[in-house]
Amino acid sequence: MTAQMTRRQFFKVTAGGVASVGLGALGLSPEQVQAATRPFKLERTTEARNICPYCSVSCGVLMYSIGDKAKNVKAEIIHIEGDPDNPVNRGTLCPKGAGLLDMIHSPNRLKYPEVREAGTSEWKRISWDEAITRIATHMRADRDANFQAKNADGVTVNRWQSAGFLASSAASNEAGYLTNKVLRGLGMTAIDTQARI
Amino acid sequence: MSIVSPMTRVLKADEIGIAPHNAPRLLLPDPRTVFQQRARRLHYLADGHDLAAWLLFCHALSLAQGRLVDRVQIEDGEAQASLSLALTERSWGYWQALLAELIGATTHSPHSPPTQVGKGLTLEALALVKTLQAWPKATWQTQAQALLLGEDGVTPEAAPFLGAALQVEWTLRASQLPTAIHAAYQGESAVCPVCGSHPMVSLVHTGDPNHGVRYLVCTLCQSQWQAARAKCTNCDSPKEVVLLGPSEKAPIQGECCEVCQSYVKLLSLPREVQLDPCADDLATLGLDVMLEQEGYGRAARNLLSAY
Repeated sequence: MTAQMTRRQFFKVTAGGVASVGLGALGLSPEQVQAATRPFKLERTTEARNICPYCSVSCGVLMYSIGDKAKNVKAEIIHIEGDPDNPVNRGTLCPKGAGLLDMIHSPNRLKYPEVREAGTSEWKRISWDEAITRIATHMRADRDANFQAKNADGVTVNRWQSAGFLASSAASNEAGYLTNKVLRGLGMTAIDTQARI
Repeated sequence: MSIVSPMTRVLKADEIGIAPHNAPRLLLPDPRTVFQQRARRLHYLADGHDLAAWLLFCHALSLAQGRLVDRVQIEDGEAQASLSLALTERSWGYWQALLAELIGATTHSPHSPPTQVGKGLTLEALALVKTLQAWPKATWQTQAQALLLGEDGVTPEAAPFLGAALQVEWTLRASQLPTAIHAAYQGESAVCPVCGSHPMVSLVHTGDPNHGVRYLVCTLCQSQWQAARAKCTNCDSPKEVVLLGPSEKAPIQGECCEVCQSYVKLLSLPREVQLDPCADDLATLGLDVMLEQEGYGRAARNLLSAY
């Protein structure tokens, strides 16, 4: 295979190069090539792999987006289909996954952290920093109040059972490892991820 | 907007839970249909095309390829494990037979105005064929071997004829390979795993068992081998690819890689079921020129053309 791989070559295609003098007899004269290669606008689409966010099956999807990041144009996803190369779903999607595009463009989609303060009915937008700080503060308070260093028999257990954590189905092995490492380090025992279902 | 996209295969209730089909990793060619289908498509595409005369020439060439296939006796007992890029003792015969085939078809039904459709060549092209017929074997050998290896020095106007004759021979040989080759091939390759030549285009298939699966089509032996979608087929970069074409969901787009700066045309049968790898590649020369201007190099070849 390696020897074959070295056969990668580029082949020049230019309006001048394609139509050499002799090819005129075959209908490929420079004038005809010129006419056939009138410039048109090239539309740019980006094709990338991703994982469906809905459930633990974690189907592979191909996502098509328009908008060139380099030109400061807002990128937009225009099409999603099942990834035929993914061994999990082999190109298929469930009805919910097949409607992913509508979820992405939904006006009701949650796009940033929000908080509903105690005693109010309004959701208020907050920054990521604020959201993470608030979550950390709550976790800290709950852990300080409920952490058990020893059980009733006096055996050291160092556990925190009053809070639980649900991790994403789309996380990689590495992200899963880190999630467990951090949470077990805090003493949390109720850890679950969609990926185990 | 429909919730279920036409590109997505929806399973029926009783199919759920059944192990999915395994798409074959390698598809060997059927020489009896490949050239006929190509000729039909070229004929269709030529109508009103700026390159009508060129496409009609390729049409006549493909018809000759098809007739040559029909005439050749497929020998048994010649099972090879794989093909190489070296000429065989039969290659010269295929070359001469193809030229004779072209001359024969033209003498029977010459078509003088270049836009008129017929089985034969224009008189100008016919004169060229006769010049090529006079080529000594040594000249042909040097030229054919250079074309096989993708080297410089091939006379541009001889390339379509050389390529067409080589395609017939290699396609026939590939079709005779033992079917065990199908099952055994599991690899990933930028060049044809059957003969070692370059890809012509990449083709997304439609229908079971390989709906949505992408294959690279060999320019020489017409075998097709699987290549993962949304990934450059020329280099091993895992980065996303850029598709450039006349519209965002065009059936034919250039799949461009920002890492190796190359492109291979991506033909989508789910978007346009009539596409033919060779015919549609030839008919979208304009896209090649545009992509070249964008700074991408063509990593694919079409043996019926000078590139």
